[in-house]
Amino acid sequence: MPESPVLSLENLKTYFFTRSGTAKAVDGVCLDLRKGETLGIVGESGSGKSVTCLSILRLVPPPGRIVDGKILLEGRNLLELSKRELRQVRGKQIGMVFQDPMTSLNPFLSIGDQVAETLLVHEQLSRRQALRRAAEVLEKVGISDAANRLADYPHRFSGGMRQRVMIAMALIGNPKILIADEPTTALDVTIQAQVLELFRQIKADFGASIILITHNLGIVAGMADHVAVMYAGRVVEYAPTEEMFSRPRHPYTLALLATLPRPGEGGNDLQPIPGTPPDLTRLPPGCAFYDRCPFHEQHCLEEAPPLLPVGKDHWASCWVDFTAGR
Amino acid sequence: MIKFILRRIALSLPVIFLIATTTFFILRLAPGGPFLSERAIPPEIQANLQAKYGLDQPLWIQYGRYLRSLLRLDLGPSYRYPERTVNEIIVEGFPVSFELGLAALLVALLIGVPAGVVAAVKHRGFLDRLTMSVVLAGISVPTFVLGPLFIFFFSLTLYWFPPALWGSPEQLVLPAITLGTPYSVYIARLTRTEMLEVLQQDYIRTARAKGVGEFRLLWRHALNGALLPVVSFLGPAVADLVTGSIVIEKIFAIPGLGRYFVESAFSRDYTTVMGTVLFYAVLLIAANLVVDVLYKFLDPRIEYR
Repeated sequence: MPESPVLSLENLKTYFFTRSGTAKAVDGVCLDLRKGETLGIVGESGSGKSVTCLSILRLVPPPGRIVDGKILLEGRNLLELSKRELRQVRGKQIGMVFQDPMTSLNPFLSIGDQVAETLLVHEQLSRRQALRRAAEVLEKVGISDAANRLADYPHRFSGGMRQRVMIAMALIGNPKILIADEPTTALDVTIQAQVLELFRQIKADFGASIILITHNLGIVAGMADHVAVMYAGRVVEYAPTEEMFSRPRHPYTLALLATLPRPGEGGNDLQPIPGTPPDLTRLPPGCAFYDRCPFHEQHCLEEAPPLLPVGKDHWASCWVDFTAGR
Repeated sequence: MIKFILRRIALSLPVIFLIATTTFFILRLAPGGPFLSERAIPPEIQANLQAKYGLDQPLWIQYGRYLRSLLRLDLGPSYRYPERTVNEIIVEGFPVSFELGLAALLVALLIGVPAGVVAAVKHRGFLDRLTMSVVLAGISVPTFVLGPLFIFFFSLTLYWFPPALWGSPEQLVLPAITLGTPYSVYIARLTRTEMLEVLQQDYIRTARAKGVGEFRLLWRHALNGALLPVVSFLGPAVADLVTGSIVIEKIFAIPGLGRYFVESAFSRDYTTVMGTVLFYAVLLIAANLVVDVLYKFLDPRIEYR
């Protein structure tokens, strides 16, 4: 029996009730985050990875609503907490880093105040003490001379620096879990590398478990211990990173991997995935990947495949075992 | 900062000159004159009066004289009230209008901003609909209806406040509310719209993710951004409010500046019209300058050079 997970999602469903129908953005997601590990969630835009993470802190904007499931943080269901209890989880137990550092910082408040605020709302501290801690954490995430930059406003910081500020803001409360929603997507490639290096260091220094959302498989390969692949609001495959890259068991994962350039083979035979993701308001009764899947069978059309164990610690939701004949 | 203010003041001088010139010539284009009335005045007296005020001179000489006296900040004598100068009229009426205007502004802000915030927070809820209905009513009902209604209820029925006249703080209440109401509803609507916009921003979500409570969220994270457009609306609004409203001053019998605006125009009291218009222009320019300076403190991204 492996150690019980810090965070586990059970059958999480988050739907958006729009005028044109109910969009099932997250439709029965089950995931475990183990202590001290990094879980990568990959998938294309609209696959539900961001909404999954927003759901964890119950930050889903209307008309979205969590309609079913459980979010267990060390056994406690976050969906049953009062607003007050929830606020004590936000920032304190779970820190969150958002995708776009240009818009995710308040332009009207100084960096110091924004970073220190996480402490101020959770701990009995004076503003001065909180600011001192903020300077320390900012220093740690690589902002030099942080003490003298506390009074600066976000517009004085570059994108990479702002993302560091965001990370400091998420870390200062010493959370057990850090959720990073595409933390490097809005950054230059060189800055991306620096920020990712920072995440590695954080894992070592703070001992936090990390959920890393990205659509960049390269980042996942370098950072994650486990990977969950999402498609149309569901987890279609879950495996240890190495296993996922060497023995994918879901056609979508296989297709994703084929979009990656391989060293030595040149970039000429990159395979795009044909077709488009399904309309989340009109999901078919069967497998959502059916239209784009080269291996589909009649049965796939009739019944959606559940997430089933296909190997040690390896789960996939596909009726067809395309590896069988090889 | 000082440099910015000085430059703005320098830039407003040509504006003021243009306004003075335009007012001067537009008035002269209007038919009639200050000493024409239904009651026939003997031609000699007529000519005497014209000569006394230099109205018999060619227009460009009159214009030159007017500009010269403007340089000395002298707005000239009033034609309608021969014993007073325009400067005196403004000095006498403005403090009254100013006090009333500031009180109305306070009413507008104290009602408008909280109402707008509440409506935004309870977006599409009962309180939002209620506030917006009141706003609609407030915009639709003109002050000359609102004033008498207030007098009827709060004065003649409930005896809470005196119905008219000027001097005591109680006498300030009804006119201030009447004058402030249209502004308060406008501010409420503006605040609501901006607040809804700000509450959608990513940084509000960031604050929520930190565990910030709803009150702190509104007060510290959202209000500042939402109030920027309100502040820019306040520039012209303040200038409007403090120069007095003839409607309010008539209804409540208040000796403010507002009535001079209208009366002087009807009686072709050239100097008084030009004086009050210029005074209003200067106030407007000053109020907008104050707003721009205030902006700097509200929005750290703005830097003046």
